[in-house]
Amino acid sequence: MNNPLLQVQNISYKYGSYRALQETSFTVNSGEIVTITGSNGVGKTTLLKCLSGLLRPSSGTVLIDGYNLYQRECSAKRRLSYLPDYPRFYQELTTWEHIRFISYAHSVEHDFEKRAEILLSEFDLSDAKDMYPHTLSRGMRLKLGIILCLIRPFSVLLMDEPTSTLDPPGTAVLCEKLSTLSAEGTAIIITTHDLSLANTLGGQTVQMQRGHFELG
Amino acid sequence: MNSADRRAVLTIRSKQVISSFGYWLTIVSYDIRDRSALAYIYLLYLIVFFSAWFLIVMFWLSDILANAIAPILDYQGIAFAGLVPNIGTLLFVLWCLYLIYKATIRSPLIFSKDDAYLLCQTPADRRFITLTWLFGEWLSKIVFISGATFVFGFALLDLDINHGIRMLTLGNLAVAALKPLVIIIPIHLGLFAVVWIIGVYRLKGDTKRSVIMRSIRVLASIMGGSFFAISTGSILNYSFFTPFQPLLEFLSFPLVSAFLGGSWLLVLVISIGLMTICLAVLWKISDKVNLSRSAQETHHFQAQQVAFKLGDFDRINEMNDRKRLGSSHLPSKLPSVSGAWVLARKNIIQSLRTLSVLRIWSWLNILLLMSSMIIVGGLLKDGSFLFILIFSWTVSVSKKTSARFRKDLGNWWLLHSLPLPPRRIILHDIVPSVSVTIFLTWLTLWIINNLGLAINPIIVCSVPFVITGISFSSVFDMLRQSNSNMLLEGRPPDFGLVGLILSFICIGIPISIYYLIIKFSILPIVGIMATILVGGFLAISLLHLCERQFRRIG
Repeated sequence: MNNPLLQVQNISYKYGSYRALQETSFTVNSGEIVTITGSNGVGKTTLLKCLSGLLRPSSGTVLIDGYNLYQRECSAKRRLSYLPDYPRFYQELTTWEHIRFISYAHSVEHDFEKRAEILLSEFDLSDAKDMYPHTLSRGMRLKLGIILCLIRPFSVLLMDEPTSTLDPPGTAVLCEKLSTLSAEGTAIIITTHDLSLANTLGGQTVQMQRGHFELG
Repeated sequence: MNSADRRAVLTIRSKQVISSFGYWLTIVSYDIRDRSALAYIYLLYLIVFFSAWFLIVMFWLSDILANAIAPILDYQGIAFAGLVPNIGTLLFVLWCLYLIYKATIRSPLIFSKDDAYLLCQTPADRRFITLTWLFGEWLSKIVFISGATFVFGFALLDLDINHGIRMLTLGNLAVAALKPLVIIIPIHLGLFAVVWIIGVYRLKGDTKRSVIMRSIRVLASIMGGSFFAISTGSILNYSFFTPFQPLLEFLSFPLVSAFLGGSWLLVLVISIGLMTICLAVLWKISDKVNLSRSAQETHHFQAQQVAFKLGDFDRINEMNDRKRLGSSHLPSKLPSVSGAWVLARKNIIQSLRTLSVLRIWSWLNILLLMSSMIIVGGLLKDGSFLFILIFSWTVSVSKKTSARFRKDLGNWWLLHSLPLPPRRIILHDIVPSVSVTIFLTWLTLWIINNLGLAINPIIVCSVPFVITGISFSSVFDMLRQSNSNMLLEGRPPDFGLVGLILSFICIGIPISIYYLIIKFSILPIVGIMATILVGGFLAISLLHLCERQFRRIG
């Protein structure tokens, strides 16, 4: 279980002259769950965006399962799954078509329908299968985002406030999923304001302060 | 309803009218919230400047109108004075029928979501709200109607004194403009009230009144069609329409009196009387108007109006697309393929589901602009007009061929998560629209060639490279301006000046080769080879630039 899946080396991020993320290095091993908490604006989302490759850090590099995220992006992205705080979707594709799109893009064809049906039913989205995203509520859209993250293969999972608009059954299902994934060897980083979620998940909880992140 | 309620309703409505007025004033840098002395001086300057400007524009428009109509009239041998009211009546009646048609579908009372929260659930007097909303709406319309009345009045005067309008005193001009306006205002307000009566009647209580409204729509369509046929037939002096002349004369009687005098006072009294009756009927029937239904029908439209004022056309398109898409759809039957081809499948589904007449027209627009370019360049040899056409064509091609990629950039989280190299993402989004554009351009060239205007093979060969180059240029410019945060918020940038400059370079190279070949009498095959080599090199270089820029987004 000591296989380092996420290696972060000296990354920092600046918005103009404002340093949103202080230089930091850390490693998350296979099966580890890291929960990041902290006040609004301390840099949780910025850190996750840097780790997912959506933001290019001002310095440093990120390795996903040994692949440099900025040099061997395709190999790294095949092993990385990221959920933003406000996921956006194609307005012309239905819930089911989004799941199909992401699955096939990641070459998940085998048992796709069965897996998709299970996830939809677990997150109580089966009835919204043929609905367009703009007709879904915020919580339902977040659930769709979670399903899109979980339907494909990955070894590192990054989630930005995944329970912010989830209902209690949805939160319970997500906790269960994350525990299973962790047991199977996935490295997980989530940000949240919900301390009870951090306690339920176990693993390490890190309080982030003014762009400063240090993993013990 | 007590006076406090009335004050509240008036406050909400007046704030809306003032803010809408303030929106137009911001165009001339005047802030209505600024109470400083300097702001008042600037306002005075604006009033003086725009009064003069308004008068000049009115003269100019009336001169154009008079000059445009006079030759037709000379040919047809009809007096201009008799025609203006006919055209005016035609436009007026058709416009009213269109508004009536619209009122049977959507409420004339337009509420935003905020208005709905503030008013619809309160026990405020519905009659007062209806009339307050009517006057607010009417005020914005009467400005344009007054402008049109001034133009007609001045045009008549201009023709009457044989284009000597500049020699006239302001007094004559004021009479020419104000005399018809005094009649037009009550007529317009009366007809406006009629439209609202239908709209308010539809929204009375919880009943839908679908049959009555459908009947009104059918009747309005038949009346509009018939009136258009009769009026145009009479204007063009077809004898078949002579029997309808009394009807037209009856309908245009108020406008004839307004513009040409004769029974002016009588018409004024009648129009004020009719206006009062219409407003009274509206007052009577609006006591039980269902404001919640009205808000439900119109908050979408109001949101579109706001987006339009802010110039947010992406938002308007998004709202229209959502309306067209509905709430759900059965999964597409298109076969799924794994890897990068999912993008092609997604693009087909997206295009089919948002297909509209406007989108098809934008393709035809490219075709029309291309043929115009060849005709203007080859036959008319008009350089400045050709430049305008090339510019419009370049913008259209840039917009059309990069639209899908831009839309995908707006879903950056999903696009970025795909384990695909940027080159494949760009190509999958660009190739279908580029191919259609190339095909349409070649089709245009083929048609023009068959019509007898010889097309140089260098132009034909350069088409794929020019279009691909334009497309990559706009994609590059979008990527150059992009950053991760704006893309995650769904606000992809549009192409700008850099994209246009690069596009013009892509167009300029084959044109230069073409002129060099002609000037130095070089073998055409050399020109074709040079076009292919240079065009190909340019396209590949631009793709490489796009790829690099894609990776740099952060």
